[in-house]
Order: sequence, then structure tokens, then C-alpha cells
Amino acid sequence: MAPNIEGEAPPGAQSAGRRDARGLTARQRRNVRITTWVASLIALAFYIGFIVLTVSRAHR
Amino acid sequence: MAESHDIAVHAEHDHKPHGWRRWVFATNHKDIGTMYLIAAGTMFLIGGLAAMAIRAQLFKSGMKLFDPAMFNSLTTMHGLIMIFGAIMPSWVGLANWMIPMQIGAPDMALPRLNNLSFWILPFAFTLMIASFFVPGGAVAGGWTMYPPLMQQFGDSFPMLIFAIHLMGISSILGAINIVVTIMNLRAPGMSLLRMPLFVWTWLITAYLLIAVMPVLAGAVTMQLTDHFFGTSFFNAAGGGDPVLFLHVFWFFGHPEVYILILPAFGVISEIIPTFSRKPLFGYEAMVYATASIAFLSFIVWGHHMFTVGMPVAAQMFFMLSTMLIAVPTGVKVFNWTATMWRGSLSFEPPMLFAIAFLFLFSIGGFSGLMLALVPSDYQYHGTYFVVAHFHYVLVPGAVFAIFGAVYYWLPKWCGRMYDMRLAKWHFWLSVIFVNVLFFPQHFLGLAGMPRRIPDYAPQFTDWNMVSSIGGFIFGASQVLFPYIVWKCVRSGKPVEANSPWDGAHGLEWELPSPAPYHSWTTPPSAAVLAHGAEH
Ligand code: HEM
Ligand SMILES: [Cu+2]
Repeated sequence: MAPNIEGEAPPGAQSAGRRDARGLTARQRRNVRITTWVASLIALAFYIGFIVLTVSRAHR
Repeated sequence: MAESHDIAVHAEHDHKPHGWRRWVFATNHKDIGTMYLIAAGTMFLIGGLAAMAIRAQLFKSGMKLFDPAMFNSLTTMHGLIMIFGAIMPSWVGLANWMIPMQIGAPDMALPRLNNLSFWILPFAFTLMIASFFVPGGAVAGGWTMYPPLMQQFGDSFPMLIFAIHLMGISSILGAINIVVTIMNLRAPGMSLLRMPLFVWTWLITAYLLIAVMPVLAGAVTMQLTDHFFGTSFFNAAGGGDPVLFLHVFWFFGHPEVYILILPAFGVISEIIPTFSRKPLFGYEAMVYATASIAFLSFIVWGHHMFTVGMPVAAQMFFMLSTMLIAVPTGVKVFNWTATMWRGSLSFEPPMLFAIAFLFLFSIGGFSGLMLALVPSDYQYHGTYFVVAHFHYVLVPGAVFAIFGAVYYWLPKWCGRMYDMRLAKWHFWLSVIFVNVLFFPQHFLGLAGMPRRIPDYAPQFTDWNMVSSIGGFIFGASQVLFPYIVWKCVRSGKPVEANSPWDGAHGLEWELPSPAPYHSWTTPPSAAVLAHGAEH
């Protein structure tokens, strides 16, 4: 759960053992980071890839 | 169901931030979902007004309501507004509301990014609409933005491109958030093949978005540099090739149409089992069919440009790959029908919209198949037949699915039931007049009426009048929808049970109604998961 703007944790979140204020385990936090990076890099690769492809096809 | 009782207790001390800060700094998936839906509704209204203007100008041959340039701006902006401003944000809003509840997660994985994805949009929409008011008027070359025509507009050209960039960034960030959420925040026990189909179809849609929105961004960036910085990606005089833009654009464009429709498939796959009181027929086949459609959508783009002069071998490839999509699509239609077969059917508004979807989306699928045939497409391309095709898949397809989704989940969101009688009026007026509006456009197209023209030869008048009348009544009856929703939220009859629909399964229905501000702060237990299990 996102801390809201006051930064307070949602009710119940802290009581759930190893979960952080957002309700995530350490493992989930790590996987969230990895997945975010992979997805972002895929998007970037398509952006750059298609510009490069277009350049190579346009000027032959 | 002790768990949902616990949650109900939590719900009583929901701490919502108050006032404007709740919305501007929103990180709650429900608040952000609501803002998406309101923004999308506003854009539906603006895009709808443009549509009414278009149908008024086309009411009869010789109408002079708008000058031709303004008319072309109206069609162009109608398309862009509806696709990027209305349908896509509606789906993202529904994803925000439903995905965490359906997978047993406390919220989206990246709540601050979620805030950014939404708040980019008002600026993008403003920029897009403001381009109507700059000298020379809004871009008028069609939503497909082909060069060199696109290069001939004034300040509206860079404004539109900047708006597309903003909307693209918003979509990509939203899609990343959805993938990350679904991959990592599912409750223990919610394995991939137990996920509800709305979650599945959105996961696949999000991958499509991540792959193709950057391609669109690249395509319009290259037009921008062609125009302002002397490059010639698409400029023949400088050694570039305008047809290349079509390839890049449609590599985005065809997956884009599936971005608009896959979440609809998901919604229909939720609604039909509920009101048939049967599990979905062929759950796994549905998942694989969705994935196949998504894969195929990357290799069919050439069917939008059969007539540009491509090698026959390429035409054959694109024709056959396009026709292949009919196979997984057929699997879906068959499975929905089989789900209803011998079910205990009831016809509440969500189910009515779902059944209409089934029939009318299929009409769009059939006209799509006709367009996929190279020799016939030479005849139909650039005519009203294409307009009829894509409006059948988009209006009684995607838009009806959005209506169905809202009528299905609204009681969960606000804990109140809407006025069934009015909602049925909304349905019947919509389903009748959407056909009066779009079916004649098939005839007009087959008779040779070109699309994107402000006036036409007199022999096309009759069906255009029918279409316009259908359009006006369809448009007017949509006013019912915001009224029904508003009335429900304000003063609908409270829903006591967790679910107003006796046949509904899924984790969202294990939460109390209205859904608490913080759902699943502790993951659902195995018992709750089993009770909510889809199949
Ligand atoms: C059953 C599968 C489908 C097939 C075989 C199909 C085929 C086609 C073909 C061949 C065209 C090009 C026609 C032309 O310009 O000459 C076309 C156009 C179009 N289709 Fe489909 N289609 C299918 C499904 C869909 C779906 C599901 C959507 C959206 C939800 C969609 C949206 C569009 C749009 C927006 C256009 C027109 C683009 C434009 O030129 O402005 N189609 N379709
Ligand atoms: Cu296509």
C-alpha cells in the first residue's frame, strides 16, 4: 500500500509480519525493481530500435 | 468469511486525505481509477460532440455547416480524442480500480508513478484540444497523421505531436505499472492460471503498450525533426520515403486496435459467466487465444496499406496472417457462446451489453475479414466500408464493454445499486441506434462513398440521412449514462451483500461493498481465495 501524502501506513499493514508499510515483502520489493527495469528497457529498445530501423531503410 | 469481516472493520477507519490534496497527490488506486474514468468520460463527451458535428455536416449532400478544413479537423480530432483520450484511459481507469482487488493486492506496485501517469493526461488533452484554436486550426490529415499532408498544418502540428508524446509516456508508465503489479503483487495462491480474465487480458495489453507506444513516439518524433530540423526520414526530396511512415505507424496501429479491444474481451469473459451462473467455458483456451491474438497483431500491419504498392508476396503474407487472427477470435466467440449454453441466464444491464457485444463485435470481425482480402480491399479501401468496420468493433465492441464493466462493478465501487430500468433504457436505445448509425455505412462504402469527405454526390444522401438520424439519437441517449452513474453514487439503494450478482466469482466480490479505501491490506487467506476462485 502506498503511504499517502502524510506518509502514514494503511491500517493493518504493519501487523502483517515482515511486510513493509506498503504491504510488500523484501522479495516483492526487489522483484518490483527488476520488473520495472526490464519493462522500461523493452520500451526504450523499441523506441530506439524503430528509429534506427527507419534510418537504415530510408537512406539506402 | 471472517476475513472480509476483518476488512470491513478496517474500512471503518479508512484514512482518506481530505480536500484537493486527496486527488492531486493521489496514490490510491481507486482514487486514481476514478480520476481516469472521469477524464475519459469528459473526452467521450468532447469526441462525441465532434461526431455529432460530423453527422450534421453529412446529413445531406450540399450541407455547408463547416468549411472543408474544419470538417477534416473534426474527423481527425474525433478519432484521436476517442482513441487516446476516451477508450484507452477508460481501460486504464478500470485496470486501476479492479486489478489490485482481483489479484488480492493492497494497491498498484508503483503508486507515485501511477499519480504521474494520470496527471500527465489533463495537460495532453488540453494541448490537443487547444490546437483547434491556433491559426490554421487543428490538424486535419486524419488520425493516422500521414506525411507529407501532416507536415502542412500550422502550430497545431507540433502541439499534436507533443500531446501524443505526453499520452504515450502516460500509457507506457501505466503499462509498466500494470505489468509490475500483476507479476509481483498477486496474493499467495493466485497463480497465473488462476487470474481472472480481465487481469490476463490487461497483462497482455500492457505488454502490447510497452512494445508499440514507443514506436508511435518514434514515428511522430521523426516527423517533427523532418519538419523543424531538416531531416528527411519521410521526405522523398531528401532521400526519405513517406511510405515508410505507414509501415512504422501501422506497426503501432494494428496492435493499438487490440489494445483497445483486449480488455473488452476480458470484461466480457467476466460478465458472461456471472449472468450464466456457469464457469467460463475453456478458461485456458481463452488465455492462449488472447496471447495468440497479441502475437499475431504484430505481423499483420500491412493490411492497412495493401494499396500503396507492395510486392504481391507481401500482400499474400499480410492477407493470410490477418485471416489467421480469425482463429483465436473464433475460439473466444465460441467459448462465450458455450458458457451461455444451458446456463441459467438472466439479463441485467451488464449481460445485455455483453450479449450485444457478442453479436455486433462479430459483425465488425466479419467486415474485417472482407477487408483482409487483398482484391476486395482494393475496392473497399478508403471508403465508408472501412469506417463501418472499425466503428462496429470500437463502439458496440470496446465502448459497450466499457458500459458493461461500469454496470457490472459500479455497485462494488460505491456500495449502491443503479436504476436498472433506466440502465435498460440506456441499453436498448444504444443497441438499436448504434446499428441505425453504422450499418448503412457498409452500404455507402460498397457503393463507393469515400471516407473523410465533407460533402458527397447526391446519390449517397438517403443512407447518410439514416446514419445521421441514428447518430443523433445514439448520441442523445448517451446522456443517460452519466446521469445513471451520478444518481447511483448519490442516492442509489445501498447494496448490503458483498456481491449484488448471485453468480459472481472473483476476489473483488469477497470484499465488502462499497469496496474499502484500502483493500487487501493483508492478503486474502486460502479459504477466501478458494471461495472467490473463478473456476
Ligand atoms: C477480426 C479481426 C479484424 C480484421 C480481420 C481486421 C481487418 C482490418 C483491415 C484489413 C483494415 C484495413 C482496411 C482498409 O483501410 O482498407 C482494418 C481497418 C481498421 N480496423 Fe480492423 N480488423 C479486425 C479487427 C479490428 C478490431 C478488433 C479493431 C479495434 C478494436 C479494429 C479497428 C480497425 C480500425 C480503427 C481500422 C481503420 C484504421 C484507419 O484506416 O483509420 N479492427 N481492419
Ligand atoms: Cu489492422
